[in-house]
Amino acid sequence: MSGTAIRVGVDLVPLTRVQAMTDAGDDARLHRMLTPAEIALSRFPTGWDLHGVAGRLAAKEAVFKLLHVPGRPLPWQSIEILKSPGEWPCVRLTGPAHRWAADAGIEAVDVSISHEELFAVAVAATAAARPGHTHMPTHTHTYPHMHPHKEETHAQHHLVQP
Amino acid sequence: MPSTTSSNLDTVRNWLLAKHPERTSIAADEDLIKARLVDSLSFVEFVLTVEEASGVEIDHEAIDLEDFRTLEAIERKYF
Repeated sequence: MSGTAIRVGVDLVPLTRVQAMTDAGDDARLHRMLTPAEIALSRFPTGWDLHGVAGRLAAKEAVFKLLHVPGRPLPWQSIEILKSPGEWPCVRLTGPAHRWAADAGIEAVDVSISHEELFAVAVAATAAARPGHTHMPTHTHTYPHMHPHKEETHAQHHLVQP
Repeated sequence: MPSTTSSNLDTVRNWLLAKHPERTSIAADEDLIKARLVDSLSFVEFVLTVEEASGVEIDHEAIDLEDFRTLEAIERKYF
């Protein structure tokens, strides 16, 4: 039996939820959920890119789901959804999310995000160590690039950085 | 004072009720997460609401979900 097990996570975010956060005129919630690097990727000159924010939040939740951490809320600031030079999304884990990934023997996480008029959906996938199998300490992996579609950017990628 | 504590916890309860107009009440021991009264997207705002109502600064990275699972757990921990 292989020493690794595939894990997936999925999440859906309605645009109305993001719209409600920005309509309130108080960006505090989004600034709690997005890092400065993510905020820079999520804004147009005229304001928030609602689809971009929704996709990013969905991807964070999808990544959190595959970490299998009980009893803890999503650590928004330690799961970052950034962009590779090829424009597809990539994942960077820091702080608690990085520790949980390392504990699970996770070395790389892939995410795929799709947007529709009213929703954004994200899927995250990884290979984790099977219980009882030892794993090597985490280190950064970069995978071969996929060709991103205009609407559905599929990322293979990255990782887990301290 | 107890009345102040109760009033401040009502602020939290009223925030939940405002988000869920289909509900008219929330029991102190009702599991807010199982009942889907709070989800991951609303949790950040929920924590901010508890912070404002209790005056206690909460470290978001160190939260134990059990402390937010019911209104009585929130009262026990933060009020």
